[in-house]
Amino acid sequence: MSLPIPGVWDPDGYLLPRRPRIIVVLDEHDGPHAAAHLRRIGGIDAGRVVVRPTPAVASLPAFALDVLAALEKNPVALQRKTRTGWRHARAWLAAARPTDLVIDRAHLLPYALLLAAAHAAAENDATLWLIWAGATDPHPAIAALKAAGHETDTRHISELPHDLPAVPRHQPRAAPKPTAARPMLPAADFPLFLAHARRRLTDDAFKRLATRYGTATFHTQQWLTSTPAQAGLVPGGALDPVALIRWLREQQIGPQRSGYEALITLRATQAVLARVGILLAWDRSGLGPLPENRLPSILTSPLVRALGTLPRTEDALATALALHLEQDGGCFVCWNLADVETSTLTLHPPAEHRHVQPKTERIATLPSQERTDAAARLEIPCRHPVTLPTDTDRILRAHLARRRMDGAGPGDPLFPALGRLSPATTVAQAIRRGTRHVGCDPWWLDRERVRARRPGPRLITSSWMTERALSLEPIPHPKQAR
Amino acid sequence: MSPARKHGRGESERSARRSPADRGMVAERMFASPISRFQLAGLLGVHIDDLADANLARLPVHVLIDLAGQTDLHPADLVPDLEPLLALRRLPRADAEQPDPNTRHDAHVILAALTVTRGPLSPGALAEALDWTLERLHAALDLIAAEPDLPAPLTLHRTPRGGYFLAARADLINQEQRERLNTTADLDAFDFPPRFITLLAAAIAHGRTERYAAFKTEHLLAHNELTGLHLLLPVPGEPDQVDVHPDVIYSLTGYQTEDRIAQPPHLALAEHLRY
Repeated sequence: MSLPIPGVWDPDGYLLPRRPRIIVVLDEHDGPHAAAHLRRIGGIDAGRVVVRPTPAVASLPAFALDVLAALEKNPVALQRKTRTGWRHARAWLAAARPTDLVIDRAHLLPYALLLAAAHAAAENDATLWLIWAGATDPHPAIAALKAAGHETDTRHISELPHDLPAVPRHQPRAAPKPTAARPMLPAADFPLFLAHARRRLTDDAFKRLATRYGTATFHTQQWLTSTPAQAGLVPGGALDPVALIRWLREQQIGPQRSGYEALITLRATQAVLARVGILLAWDRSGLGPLPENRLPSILTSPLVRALGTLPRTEDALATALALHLEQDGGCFVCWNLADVETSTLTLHPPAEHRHVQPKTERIATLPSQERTDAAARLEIPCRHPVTLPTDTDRILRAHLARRRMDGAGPGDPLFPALGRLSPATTVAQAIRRGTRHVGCDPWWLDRERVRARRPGPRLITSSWMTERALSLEPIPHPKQAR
Repeated sequence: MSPARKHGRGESERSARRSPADRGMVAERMFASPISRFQLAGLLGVHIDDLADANLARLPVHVLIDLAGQTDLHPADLVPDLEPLLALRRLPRADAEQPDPNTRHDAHVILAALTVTRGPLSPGALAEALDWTLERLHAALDLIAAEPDLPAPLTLHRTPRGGYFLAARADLINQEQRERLNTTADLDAFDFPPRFITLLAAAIAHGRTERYAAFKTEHLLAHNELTGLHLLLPVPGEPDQVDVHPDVIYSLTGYQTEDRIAQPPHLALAEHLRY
């Protein structure tokens, strides 16, 4: 089997030829020390990927599963061997950015798979370590690698701890001190929240609340002064509601770790925005007994880690986007590879749109419903920049690597169509697989449940704001208000 | 094999064997509960016409807990599969504590207080009326929820004509608390619409000037509602002037005042109204 000269993608998308550094580590006694040392050299976070091939592995799809398992992909999802498995493995390897790719018991692998491993190491500019155990002669394998243009070094197993040192073991964290139980927060709306908190919480509880409240106030004021135009502060200026929604989702409220923190942040934000003539209303009546728990983003760090165990990159990324935006993926088909800015994890609006315009039918509804409908119509994700949380960077990089390996260019879609399916259907299926994998069951993914929840003419799309019953409207000037 | 392992996904044997009469009784209890059918449908995630046929076994656990609590139904009545599991013995709890005796007393006070109010009160209003912290209030509410058989602090009274009635024990609530229970505005569930914010802003900036009269005329309904909620306070001898409750000023601006407003806050809330 011959493989093209491996290369490395540079930031501009050009493929640069690379030759990997390959080290064959001889372990003629096949003792337990090698395996023990490999357990101490760290994992992906330390830049090291240790592949433990399944005995008698002979095909590339099967080897791909071993590589994916080394990259912490869910083994249950790996039971189906697919032809695209190796591309997925290479994509996740590219996202992991390893410095060292270690193949334990490499003497069991056929030459073709050794070459594939060399190719994968070259793509990532990583050193390939082949742990050659037992009495098997490594020279034919070394010759095969040389014939493919790879030079190798040879070391003895005793040198491995020096050449590939163990990573210092992290001290286990001390058990966290039991924190004081979180106080109940006042249920009052923002014009009374702080006063009720001051009167109805203990001194310590109020101090903690006031600190967090003050921080949120500061951030809101800072954001208002950083935006080009601010309602109420610049005559004739109009605040961009979409920019405000984006800031609420991605910086102010979405990243809060608990309902407690989110509620305090929301109340502080509401008070500051009211001072500049914007009402950020929160209709909590339909959100259940603990409405503040609905405020933080549902794309939490544990959920991102769970998505990272998906072998298919499109499943992981589409699901992460859907949960971040709390929308089905109807608009994800618009993005191209050129619209993705990896340094900031931002997807920029494309020049042309391909999504089907969501239907919005209006009926006579309560004013609060009209407000939330208006907010939802603002949140067409492909029309505005979308920034993903920082811990999704590996997922994004893996998918971009996968698309490049498919031969996609900057003008090609981020989520291409699969087979005869339309791009929208492909994305929808990817999100279903992803949400099922992480045990998430958002109602807005299922059209039938959408119809059951909102019978009659209704707004079909959901959004981050509507899922939290948040809405924006200007506070009228007294002469205009009725 | 434990009962839990016998069942796979989908409706189990036990739930499927439940008779229509059983299902009818459960539905009847659900409909007799204090929450409305719309709230029930929202809780179960079904259309209101499908309430009786809702597949309760597929509900998330937190919804099941809420449903059982709202309808006073045993969880096994809602999901028959739970019955054998509820008989399993619990692990010994290392942090099991007996409730504070003071909390038990507070629980009785709350039960007595709720018998003298004119209607349901939110936790915030209860805390205001009793002058308690929220922590103290919720500790007592949690105890009441955990012990549904907690004896109610009622005494049996007899009318001169020989009739009987129940009344709360008079020793648990003092007179001040009793008055506040009947007069405290329940503001917890009140969401401030834009016109209220507008008028509050006007009142903060101009409440003590002649200009407020024009705002009041323009937004008379909002003015009356805010006055009814005691958030706008009449100024003695000045029918067209108001003070804003210090709680509102403090919450909106961080500006504290104990008595009359000495000067409007120097924030944009007032400037927003300049014309």
